Amino acid sequence: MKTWKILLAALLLMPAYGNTNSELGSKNEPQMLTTIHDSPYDFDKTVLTLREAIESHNFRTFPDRFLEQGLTDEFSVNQRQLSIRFCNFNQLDKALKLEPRLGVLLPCAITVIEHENGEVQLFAANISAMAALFDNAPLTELIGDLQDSYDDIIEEVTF
Amino acid sequence: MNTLTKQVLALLLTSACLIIGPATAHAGQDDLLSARTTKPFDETLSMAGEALEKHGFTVAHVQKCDGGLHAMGYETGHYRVIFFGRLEEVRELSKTHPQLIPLFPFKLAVYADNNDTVISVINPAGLGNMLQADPVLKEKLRQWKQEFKDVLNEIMIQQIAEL
Repeated sequence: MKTWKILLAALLLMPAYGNTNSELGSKNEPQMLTTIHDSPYDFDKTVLTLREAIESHNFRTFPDRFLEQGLTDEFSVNQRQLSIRFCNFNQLDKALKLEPRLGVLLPCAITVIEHENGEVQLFAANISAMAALFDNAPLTELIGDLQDSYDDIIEEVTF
Repeated sequence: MNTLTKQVLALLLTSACLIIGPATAHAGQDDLLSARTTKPFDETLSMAGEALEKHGFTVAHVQKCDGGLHAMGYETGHYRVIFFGRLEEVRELSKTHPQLIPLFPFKLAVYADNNDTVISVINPAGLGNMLQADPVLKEKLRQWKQEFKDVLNEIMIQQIAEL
């Protein structure tokens, strides 16, 4: 009885992942996945300015989350690593209809980190590069608009 | 359930996955890992959380994307995102390889698709170039890929074992 289950498992799992021949090296001139920006402000002012910039671009912000939140107890979390998470539900609805797997990249977020030397940086995903992972032209176009908003927000904070 | 019924169900399930599997992993098949189950959404969501923890990950939180969309007046099926990771990896790698920070914590999407439930996660090994990965990071990306595949396998095997 166990034999057929093992055979069935092997059959089921084969198509789910596809091949991996193109991993790690075959993509031409890939875009960088992450953008890193120095903040001219201290940590608190960077967070405040970032939140204001996000909201001014018609995004709704979710409750902030520390980068380590949920991975350790609340007393051990590094509170100088904060992700500001945001969403435009209209864009999200359209994007999920174009590509339901998009959740692997959700939500939009920009993380503010204060390093030990006091330097503050913003870390954002290059969402245009991420959208390319789906090879979906309408999605790429939609994400292009979102990328423009990302760029504007970061420029407003770091200018 | 008698043996004949099990075999018929297994055949139907296999046929469905052979047809649907490639369709959900088309052009971006190297960049995403996905699995499809016939289990109900809530059960699959629970199984996914358990499988992640069994493989040494911590579930940081679960975001109800469907709830947010419904609240804003949009119609959608069940859609949740499980955020997960390992504290020591986040701490170490955000220092040594800060380009990973936007990926942390990892996200596992679980969503309803007609009568099936689909689970998707990014394939870290497919991101090496985009992360300008050095050999150490490439190895870590490969390790995560294998672990993510193991998590998906766990969910699929559990489904089969319950037939």
